[in-house]
Amino acid sequence: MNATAHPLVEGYLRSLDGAAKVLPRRERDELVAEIRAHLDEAVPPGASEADVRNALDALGAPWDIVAAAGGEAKPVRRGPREIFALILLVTGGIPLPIIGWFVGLGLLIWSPLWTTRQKWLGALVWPGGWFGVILLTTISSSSGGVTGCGSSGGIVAPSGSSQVVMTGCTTTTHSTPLWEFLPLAVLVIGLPILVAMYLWRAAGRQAAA
Amino acid sequence: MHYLVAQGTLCRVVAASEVLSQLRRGALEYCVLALLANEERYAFDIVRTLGQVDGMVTAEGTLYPLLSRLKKDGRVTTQWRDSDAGPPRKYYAITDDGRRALGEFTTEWTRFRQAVESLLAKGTA
Repeated sequence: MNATAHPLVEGYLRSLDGAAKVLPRRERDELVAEIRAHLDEAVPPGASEADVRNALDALGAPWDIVAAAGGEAKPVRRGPREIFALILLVTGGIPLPIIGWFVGLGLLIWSPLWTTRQKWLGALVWPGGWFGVILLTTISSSSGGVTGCGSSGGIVAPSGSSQVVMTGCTTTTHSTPLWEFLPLAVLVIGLPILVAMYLWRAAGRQAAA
Repeated sequence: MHYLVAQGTLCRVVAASEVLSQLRRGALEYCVLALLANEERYAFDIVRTLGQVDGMVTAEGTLYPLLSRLKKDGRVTTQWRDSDAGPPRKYYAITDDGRRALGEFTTEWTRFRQAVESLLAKGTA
């Protein structure tokens, strides 16, 4: 396996590239390319994780390297940007439904603390956040006959079925027991929270690296 | 009173390590030139050789910016060469300018080292 394909090496190079943003474009690219080549040689194919960690430790912290290149690099920390990104993505935007979600998406893309894969994950679970899911299911099950209910807090069964489960709503019409939709509700509400928790910790790991 | 003495000592110890890290940083570039005095080397070779000398380099990665600075200052030149295994390597060679700088530093360093050593010897005698 090529050294730079190792996840630890990948994370390190990403931190370095982020820290090196303060340098002129050419210097930044050259520095990252040189450190990448160094790691390719320092970490032989099939090296253990300990070997990889030793090689990275010997290199030193990314911002030390950038500082040696004349850049005043500050370590990127998890902050309001990451917090708001996750809150807006999970909820779908408070106080501006859907629009708020797009703001969250922007923050997610902007943050250097997540990988492209993690950004896709954050964007796709669920697009529009909770509001998005509610809106989608409400539209697609307009035949479901949800009446006398508030605009928020409802989870509606997929189209085609007449059963409706509402949370935070008093008028529910269902011919099947409520618990049958519990797994779906848990999935819809819980998955974004799990993803957000994962992304929060991933950002923390990336900031510490 | 004891506390004050201890505190004073601590301050001096911190300052000494700061002095040494400044010295090391300044001398490092000439150590790189010295490594190149007799042969061309590629970056990884330079970095590893210096990294293996105890107390010389604390973060190997910082040597790469140093190498590009040496190149910018015209003290070394670089050339890509094919390697037997893997991608081509960038080889560093010392220039006449670099050789001159290394010669000057070596003279000055030797004088400086002898002066400091003789004075330090008086302090411990």
